[in-house]
Amino acid sequence: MPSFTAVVATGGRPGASDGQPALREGRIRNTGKSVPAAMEKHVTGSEPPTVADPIRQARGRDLTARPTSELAEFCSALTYDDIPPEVRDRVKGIILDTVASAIAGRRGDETGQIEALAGAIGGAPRATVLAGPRMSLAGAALLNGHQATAVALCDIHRPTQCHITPAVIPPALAIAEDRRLGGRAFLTAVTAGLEVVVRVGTGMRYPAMRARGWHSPGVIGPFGGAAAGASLMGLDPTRFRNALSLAGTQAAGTFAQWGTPTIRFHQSRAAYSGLLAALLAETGFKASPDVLTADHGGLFNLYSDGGDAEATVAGLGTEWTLRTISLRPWPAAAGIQTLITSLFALIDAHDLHPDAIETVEVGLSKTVHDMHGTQPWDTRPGALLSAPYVTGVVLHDRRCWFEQVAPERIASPDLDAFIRSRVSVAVDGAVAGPGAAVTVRMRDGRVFEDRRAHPRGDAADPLGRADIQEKFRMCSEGLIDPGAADAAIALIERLEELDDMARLAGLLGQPAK
Amino acid sequence: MTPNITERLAEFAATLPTGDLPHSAAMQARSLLLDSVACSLASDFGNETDAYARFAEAAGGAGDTTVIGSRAGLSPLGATLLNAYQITAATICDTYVPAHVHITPEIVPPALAIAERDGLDGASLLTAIAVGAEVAVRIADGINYAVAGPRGWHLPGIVGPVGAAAAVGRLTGLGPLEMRNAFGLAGSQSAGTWASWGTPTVKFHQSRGSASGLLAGLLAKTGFASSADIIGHADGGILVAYSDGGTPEKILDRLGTHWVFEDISLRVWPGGAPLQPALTAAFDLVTTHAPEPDAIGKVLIEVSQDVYDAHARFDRPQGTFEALLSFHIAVACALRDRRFWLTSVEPAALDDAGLRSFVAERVSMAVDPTFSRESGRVTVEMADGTRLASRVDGAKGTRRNPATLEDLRSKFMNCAAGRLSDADARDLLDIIAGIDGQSDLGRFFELLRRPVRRAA
Repeated sequence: MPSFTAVVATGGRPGASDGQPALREGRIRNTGKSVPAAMEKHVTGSEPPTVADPIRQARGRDLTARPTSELAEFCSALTYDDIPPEVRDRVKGIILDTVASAIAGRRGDETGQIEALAGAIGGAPRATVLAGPRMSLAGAALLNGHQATAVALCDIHRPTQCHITPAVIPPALAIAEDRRLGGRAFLTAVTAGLEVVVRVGTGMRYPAMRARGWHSPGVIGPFGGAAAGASLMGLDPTRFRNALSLAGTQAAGTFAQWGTPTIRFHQSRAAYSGLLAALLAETGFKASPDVLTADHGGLFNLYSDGGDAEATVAGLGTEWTLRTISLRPWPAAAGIQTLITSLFALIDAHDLHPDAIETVEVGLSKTVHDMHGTQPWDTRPGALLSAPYVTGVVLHDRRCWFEQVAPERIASPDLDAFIRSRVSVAVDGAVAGPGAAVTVRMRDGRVFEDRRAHPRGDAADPLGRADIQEKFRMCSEGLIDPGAADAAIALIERLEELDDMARLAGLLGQPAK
Repeated sequence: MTPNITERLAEFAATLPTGDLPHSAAMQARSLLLDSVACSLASDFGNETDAYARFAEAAGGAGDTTVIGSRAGLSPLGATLLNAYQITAATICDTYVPAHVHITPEIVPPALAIAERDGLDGASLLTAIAVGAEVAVRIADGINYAVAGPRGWHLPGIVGPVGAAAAVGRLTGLGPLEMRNAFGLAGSQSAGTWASWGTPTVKFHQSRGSASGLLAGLLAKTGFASSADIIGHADGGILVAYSDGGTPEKILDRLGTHWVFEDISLRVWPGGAPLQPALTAAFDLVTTHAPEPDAIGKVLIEVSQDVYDAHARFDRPQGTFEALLSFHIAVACALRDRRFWLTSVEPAALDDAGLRSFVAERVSMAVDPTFSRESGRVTVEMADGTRLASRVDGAKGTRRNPATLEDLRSKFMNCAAGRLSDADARDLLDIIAGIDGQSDLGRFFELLRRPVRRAA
């Protein structure tokens, strides 16, 4: 069975995005310079101490902590001015990245199927699907939620092993466009949504949650869409809390789906659930006073081991936990982004050519190896998850983009032979979490090595804004008019000046002719 | 390879020939449909129904799918959300007592939506309802509510999506593999906990569960792949995620020859399902002894410990929703007014000083530790010292004490009163009674749209 070992990132480096080199040749690449030489120290998560009586423990907490209410009160009062400029900037980058990923998601293998579903549930068109048709609010949330995650480009929050943005930004886009709200409200709402998911996920204590079979995006994701929607609607603290509770009462999705596309449907459905929660709470519909820590049926007990109510709200308003969200430069599994970072670093430093390579040894943590180390690469979804394939194709093509997982590329006999004869992937006991260790032995006897703890785009090494903008343009190729893509980038970069989110949606909805 | 538990259940759901239901199962399916329509017609007694209608339209959008009791349709999603809420809104819908779960709100609405969309016949609709309900209650049996309930799981949102997906899957013609995927997609949405107890969000579980089944069935129809064994998977399957591994053998026990959904109970009176044994006892007492209300001294209601824990708090209910969970109000009305209907829990009725003082001065509740949830005893001490007692171990409407067809017709007419003309109500009753012979459901849906708003 696949399993995760949670890795707790040591926190972001605010402002580290400055000074990142621009992408070269219009393709995301890595350079030796852009990869920090020093590795951040990572802490491998372990099972929290056994709780003798989790219900009693939660009862004890219940008397002192009401995290659902505290989150609701905070988010309900949150204004654009309350958000530090550097956090706003980070959120803008995340929005840009998510929109880019969702545009590229038009190319996803199952996008047509989710579009058929979104059409079949009906309703007059009211919101834009990125690079796609307009749909009902629910349809747009479902389809944009899917597209954001469809081609393995969206964010990853490593401590909770959660893709957060697909559940937060699509419902926020739908509501903001439908109600013609402005960019400040949108940015504030997305900030609230991201922050709430990270915090609920933190309180959920991922290792305990994972041990029970739960897959984060469908469990904690709905809270983010609900918070973003409730923020846009301006709900008072009570209704905001009801929105969060209505999200929590839709928390679902387990690892029984691993290996099937339904694992991604969790994100899509989470976006839809968050939308439902916000819309229903807006009517005044009442819900649990504390869905997280309620004595009977509180999520921290049911999905975890009692959770950590204090951690959920610790530093609320002063510590912005959304900074721990990582972005992905390359369309590949989150677990092998460090491997790709290492490969590009080695290529840049040593001008590696496949013909001159004798062997490549890839070391991964057991967790990542279990998921990606032996993954077959005979299909596109499989190739995106395959450490051996990605190693081979990056060394050959010096690129890692969609054409690297195109059917004809996957079927290349030379590449296949190189991977099977030269590339070996194994567990390296010294590698933790998402880290990687790559050793390349050249035919001339030279040996090059790169070991690192986290990839480019990680919270500890955030992508620069120029990188994200370039990712946006690459994702848009053939899907959005280039002029519209540039105009959309400009609007997102100056979101606070945008008076009507429908203007942004208008740029993003029309497929390129 | 031996098919797993999900595959076997899916194969049953996908391959049962339409109309191939034993007489008693077909009767039960008709009763569930009739009762669903009845409950929907009474949904205006629910405090939140109008707000929920606004929500359903906002989320799902306008469209042509019938909303029971409304001339304006909604999208398939919107209509499913709203019809499901309407069935459960007035707290008079079905209950599968062993798992403390309502089934019809999840199963019937998406079946109606697809049957209408695709112009299907009554036999297909009835078989889909039967199969959907059967799938839901069998998984509920497998989950073992005695474990899942105390942990905090509320089953309508957990088993309901799978049953609803089965109903949708049948109507859209899914094969066994697609049906298995539909179950997987439904199970990926299984959610809802008792943290919502005391709020109308417990009813949202039914509505959302219904819509989840619709999504699952429609997405599976596109060929979307899902877990090979959502029920029995060791890492996050339903039986381990929502229980302790459950009792998987119950899910397949005599599948196809024994119809568990025939055990679903229907409520003759409004009020939470756990109130029904005590209401039955109270009305038995009225029928047998006809105690004069003014001569009643004390009333003692005895129930099981868990029922007491959940309901004793509603001795002074605030509003209709709480009153429908209040033993004190329900039994007081039964004894004092010899009637308990939705009008009994309207705000004006609850404010009646006579009722308030009757409850405050005479009615009390206690635990009988030997009782199950299905038992209740009402003891009346008359002013002259006479004691009258009635014990019930199976409420009216349960398998042990079934509601008669006349009971259900009478409930239907009560619910329809003020919304449909007598002629239309009887017409609708007749169509549902013979639904499996209806090749065209046009008239059925037309009548569902005909009700007017009840005069205030």
